[in-house]
Amino acid sequence: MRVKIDRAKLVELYLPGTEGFTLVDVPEMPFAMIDGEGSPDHGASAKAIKTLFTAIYPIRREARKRMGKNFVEAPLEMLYWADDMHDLAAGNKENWKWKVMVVLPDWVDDEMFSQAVAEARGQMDEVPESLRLEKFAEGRCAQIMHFGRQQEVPATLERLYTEFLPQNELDPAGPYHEIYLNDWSRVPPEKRKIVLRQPVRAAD
Amino acid sequence: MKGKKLTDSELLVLGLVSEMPRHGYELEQVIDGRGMREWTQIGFSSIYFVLGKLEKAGFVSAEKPAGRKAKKVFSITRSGQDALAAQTAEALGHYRPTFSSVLLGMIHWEVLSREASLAALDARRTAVARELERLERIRFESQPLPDFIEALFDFSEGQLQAEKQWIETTSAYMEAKP
Repeated sequence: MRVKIDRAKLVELYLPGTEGFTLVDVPEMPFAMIDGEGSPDHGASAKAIKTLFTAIYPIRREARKRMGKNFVEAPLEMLYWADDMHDLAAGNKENWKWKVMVVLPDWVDDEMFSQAVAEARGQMDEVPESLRLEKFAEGRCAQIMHFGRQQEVPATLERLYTEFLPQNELDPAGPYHEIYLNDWSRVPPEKRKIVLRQPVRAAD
Repeated sequence: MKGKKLTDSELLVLGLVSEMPRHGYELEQVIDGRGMREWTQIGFSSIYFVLGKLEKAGFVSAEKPAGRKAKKVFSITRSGQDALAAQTAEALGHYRPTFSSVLLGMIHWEVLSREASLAALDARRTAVARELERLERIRFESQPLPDFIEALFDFSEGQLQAEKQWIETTSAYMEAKP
C-alpha cells in the first residue's frame, strides 16, 4: 500500500497533541538507518546519529534544491527494544537494542542512497555495516507528544502501558519509538518535544 | 550599555545564553562546535569579558550553584531578551554595506597591463572557487544543521557564486576588447 504523505499526514504523524494518546496508522516510508546494541548513552548513539546525518547530507542537499519551500526537515527517530522486553522497561540498557533513523523523501532509491554514502565516505570516520536505506511500515500506533524533561517520559509511558493500551484492548507490537523534534544543543531540557510512539495490535 | 547597540560578540553570546542557561566553558564549546568563529572574532578570554559586560548591563544574570567547584551559570534576563529581539530584527532588517577589495582593484585597472590585470582576476577566480569548496566541506562536516543555518550557508554560497560569475563575464569582456 502506497500512501501519499501530504502535510496533513505529516502533522498527524509528527505533531500529536500533548494531552492524550492518539492512534495513528503509520504508512510505509523510506528511512536511512543504523543499528546499535547496548546502552545508547555515553556517545554511542551520538556517534551513530552524526554518521547517519553525514551520510544523508547529499540527499538533503538535493531535497532542498528540488523541493524548495516544500522541503520539510526530517527529525531524528530512534527505535528501542530488547530480546526480553522487561529489560527495556527496567532500564537494563546493556541489553537494549536500538536503531537511529531519519525518514527520506519517497523519490530516494538504492542508487541515490549509495551515491550519497559514497560522497559522504570521506567525511565519516567509518561506515557502519548496518547503514542502509530501508522501507519501514510501522502500522497502527499509539502516540503522544511529550513536552518537557526527559526524566518525565517514564511516567507517561507507565500510563500508556498500564492504562491506555489495556483500556483500548491493545497490546504492544514492535519496538518502542521516540522522535526527537528539537536539537538538544539549542533547546533547554524543559522545552524539548519528543513524540512517544508504540506500535500496537488488538489484544488476544 | 543599556539602549546602546550591542557588539557582534555581545549579540552572539547573548543569543547562546538565551537558548538555555550556560557557563563560560560551555559557551566556548558551543562557539567552537558550531564553527561560529567563521563569522565573528571572539577569543576564549573575551567570552568572559563579554559575559561581564552583559552582566553589568543587566542582560544576563549569573548564578553560582552550591558546591566548591561549581561554575557560574549565566541566564538571560527579561531586558536581555528585549535587547536580543531588537538587535536581531535590526541585524536582519538593516543593510550594512561591505566593500570588497575588488572595487579598489577595478578602479585602478589601467595601472596594470591587460595581461597582469587578467592574471590577477584569474587568481581571484581560483580563490573564490576554493572558498566555495571550503564552505561546502564545513557544511558537510557540521551535519545536521537546522534549516536557518543551511540558509545562512546558502547566503554565503550565493554571494561567492555571483562573484565567480562576475569574474568570468568581466574577464571574457576585458580579454576580447580590441
